[in-house]
Amino acid sequence: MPSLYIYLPVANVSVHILVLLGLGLLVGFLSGLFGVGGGFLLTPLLMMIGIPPTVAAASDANQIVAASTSGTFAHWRLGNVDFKMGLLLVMGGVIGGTLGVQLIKMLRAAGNADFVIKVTYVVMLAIIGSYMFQESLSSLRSRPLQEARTKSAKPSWFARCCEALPFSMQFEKSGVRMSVFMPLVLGTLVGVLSALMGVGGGFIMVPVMIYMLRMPMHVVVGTSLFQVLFTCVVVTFMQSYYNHTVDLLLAVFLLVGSTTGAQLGARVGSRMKADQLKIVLAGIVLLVMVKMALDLLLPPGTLFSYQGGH
Amino acid sequence: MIRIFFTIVCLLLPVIAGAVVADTTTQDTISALILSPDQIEMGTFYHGANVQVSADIPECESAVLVLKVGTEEMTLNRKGRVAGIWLNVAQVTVQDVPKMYLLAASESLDRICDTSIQREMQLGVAYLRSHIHFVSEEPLTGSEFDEFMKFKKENGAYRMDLGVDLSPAEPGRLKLSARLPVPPTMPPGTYEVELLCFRGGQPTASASADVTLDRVGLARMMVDLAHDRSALYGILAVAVAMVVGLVMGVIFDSLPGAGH
Repeated sequence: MPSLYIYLPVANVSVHILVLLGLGLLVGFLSGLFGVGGGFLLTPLLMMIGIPPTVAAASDANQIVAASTSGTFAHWRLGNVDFKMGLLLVMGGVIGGTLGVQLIKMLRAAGNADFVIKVTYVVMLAIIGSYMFQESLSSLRSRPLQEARTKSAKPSWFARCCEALPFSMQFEKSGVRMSVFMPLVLGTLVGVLSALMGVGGGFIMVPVMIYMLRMPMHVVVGTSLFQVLFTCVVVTFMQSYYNHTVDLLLAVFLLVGSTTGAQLGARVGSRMKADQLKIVLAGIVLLVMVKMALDLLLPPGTLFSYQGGH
Repeated sequence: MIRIFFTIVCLLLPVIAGAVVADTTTQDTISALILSPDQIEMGTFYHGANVQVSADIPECESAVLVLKVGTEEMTLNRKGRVAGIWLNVAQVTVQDVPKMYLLAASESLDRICDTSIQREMQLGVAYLRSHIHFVSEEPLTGSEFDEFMKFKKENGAYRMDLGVDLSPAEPGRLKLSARLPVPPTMPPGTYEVELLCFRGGQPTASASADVTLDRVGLARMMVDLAHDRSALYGILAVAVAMVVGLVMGVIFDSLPGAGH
């Protein structure tokens, strides 16, 4: 009877096939459901099963290429991808990522990079998670009332500032009109945070698209996946070329699970209400926040860890 | 009569002496140290291996088997508590670290020999403690070695088990048998398994044999491609991922219930 363990030659470890397929399925499902890449979840999980951190991060990016291709395809067929908005966010993300790397260098030189990164992570997750949770909950409870209130409310200072910006453009898919600077600047900010936290940024980008770019939830998911796809193609190639850390076999097993999961996620998502989607994502963001907060507060099993992990 | 007896003794003396010398050599020598398998293929379904060790050894009190894998320098993060929060507070460079260290013994090392012999013969924690060095720009706390051992054991890179059986064979000889578990994380290469016999706290005999780990088939092809043709490997990785993603998309799209 053949072994159910598979030897991953670049990672130089052996892992049970069902574990890899299961992890891929779980992360792909979240990816298809919410438009997040899932890197913030999968990389630590891969490290927990013994994959070296550098290989985990690089191979994770590779499998996200598949999951986001599958997810983008599914959402494109459903008419949920705003390519114009996505490209502007990608451009902003590249600028922000470059700035973020420099910022980390400065913080490291000042000697407090780790503190800033970890606390930023927990605070960001807490703010995003709580806001989404509260907003979605109240929206689910009193939808008609809220809709009426929204229609009659005056535009906020943020909305007025946005309207005042030059180079206004119509984003047909999203049904919004705004300055090209909005997605560029917000993409840059998310890029900075992504570089600081060492993650793809999908789980920050999604709330930004919902609350700051005012895009409809279903277009948000498709567009976010499109942006994640771009980022991860570049990361996969760079990691393969410069660091030789992509384990294709690991990625293939993960992506078989994740592409299936992404399709299931997209289907489940299309049957759910936007507020239901938001509230589940908020719950996951808050869970990750609690886990990270506990990691910060509880004594670790061993005081040593590989470089590259959080 | 006495003269005949004396002559016979004189004639036999070199033969007896020779036999005694030959017998002494055999008594102190380890013969037939066999590793099975001694060639391990790391193929697609490789999940580590168990190497059976057997040997015919001179009578002794205890025996130790050691497999060490080269040394390297590692830079690790060390956590510390700052204002109640556990953070990476220092980078510690760990020098002269055996990549892997597997040891099996017939009883605990401290009962076999004292720590100075352990260090000299490169055995166990005493040897590793004297061999591994920690360097950091931040002050060292003194607990680095113990924490590092915990870290390596968690990774499966260091194992120190009992598991060597000694049983009587012919007079003055023992039969050794042991199982040396090779973890799947052991990198490919040829490694020396060393066998040491101890009596009265001193090593009395030693022998070694090689075990070779080699990637084969798909595993070998992939690593060669990743290192020798990295650009092609990168393009392949992206292409495979995109094609699988699209194919899965098309398959799911064609299934009943696909939403449009």
